[in-house]
Amino acid sequence: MSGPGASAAAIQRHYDIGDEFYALWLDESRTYSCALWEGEEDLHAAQLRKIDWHLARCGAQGVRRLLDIGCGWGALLRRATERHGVAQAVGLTLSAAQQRLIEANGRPRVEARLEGWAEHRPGATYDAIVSIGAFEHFARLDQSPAEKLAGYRAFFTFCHEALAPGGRLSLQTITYENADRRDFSRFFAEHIFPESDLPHLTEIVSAAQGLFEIEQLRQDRAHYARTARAWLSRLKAQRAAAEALVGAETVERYKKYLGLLVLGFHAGTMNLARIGLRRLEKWR
Amino acid sequence: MDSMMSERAADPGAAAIEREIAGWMRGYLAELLEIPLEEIDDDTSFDRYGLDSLASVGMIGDLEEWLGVELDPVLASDHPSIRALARALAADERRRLLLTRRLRLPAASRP
Ligand SMILES: C[S@@+](CC[C@H](N)C(=O)[O-])C[C@H]1O[C@@H](n2cnc3c(N)ncnc32)[C@H](O)[C@@H]1O
Repeated sequence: MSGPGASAAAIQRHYDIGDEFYALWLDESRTYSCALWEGEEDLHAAQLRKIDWHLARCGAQGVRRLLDIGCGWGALLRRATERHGVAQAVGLTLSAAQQRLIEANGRPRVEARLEGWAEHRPGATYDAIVSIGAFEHFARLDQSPAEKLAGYRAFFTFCHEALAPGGRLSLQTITYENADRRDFSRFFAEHIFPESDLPHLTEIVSAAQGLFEIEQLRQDRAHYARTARAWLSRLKAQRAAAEALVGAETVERYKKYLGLLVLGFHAGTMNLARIGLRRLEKWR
Repeated sequence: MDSMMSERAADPGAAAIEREIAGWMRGYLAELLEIPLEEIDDDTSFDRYGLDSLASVGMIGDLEEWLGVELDPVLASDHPSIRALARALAADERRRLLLTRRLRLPAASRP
């Protein structure tokens, strides 16, 4: 069991179609989430700025233990240990390909585990937690609103228990903005993100209530439209290589998916939330 | 004369591009929706034709393929009819020269 959201099998259908395919159109850090843009820099610089923003938000500088829930190909784990003085960075992913790649890189202070947060048993508490682009997978379309909220609540409860007192969680996720699950594209649901439902901002706020205070909130959908445009552009430029790796049909599907991302963020059916949260201590 | 018209009249290159693109789109929609070409109307919104966001992204992708020029996936939602989209594409000066060549149109009288 990976937790209340998408199963490991569903996640692997999306992420395990090939490391090289993603490497063709993601930036060289292989970050697969919304970047943080400032001015005219390239995608890679904007992705690193995003990583640094989250590490600063959760107070990771020089800490002993950091947890990255949904670590992708490990860019944040690497940067935390190499640039932010983190002594031990642990990443969780449901993708076997991602976990293998991070472990194969053999960085001593980096550990990648093939497990969901719900099954993770931290040996010791963490000083800081980051989760970027994974919360989208923590609920399923077939859940009732109450079940969905309970799943999110379980996530924040896990983070609360895993964090040291006063510790921070920096969260980034796509949300429904001017839309809801009834509008969720069947195409997304069937072909791209099976078993996944997006949160409303209010659901995040209410699931965290009493466990975390929200210190900061940024809504950055324009940043995601720009990120997805950059991905799409790169995929088109690498089309022949991409088709050789995964076939023309899959490339076509990803072009549509990235186009839909651009459109959704541009039109405001979806938004991108970056939320800085701080663990609340019990006072009674 | 409204400003759109005078803008168009001022550049025969843009008008030709607009005509070509509108023609392609009529054919595309007629085939996609399986309705006779004569029934396609340049001013009816894509929405009214029942195009959802996936179909609209797909249409821009196919148009892009036909033109051989990279297009933004939001174009059909920002310019939601054949006329509006064709005109917006023709109005972009940077793109005009490229499109003129791709569509094998006679070069515009002005640079
Ligand atoms: C879109 S990727 C983002 C990866 C990375 N944070 C980044 O920004 O590049 C989502 C990640 O979440 C992971 N994931 C999904 N559900 C999870 C769960 N229940 N527990 C832990 N990781 C999960 C996936 O395996 C994948 O690595």
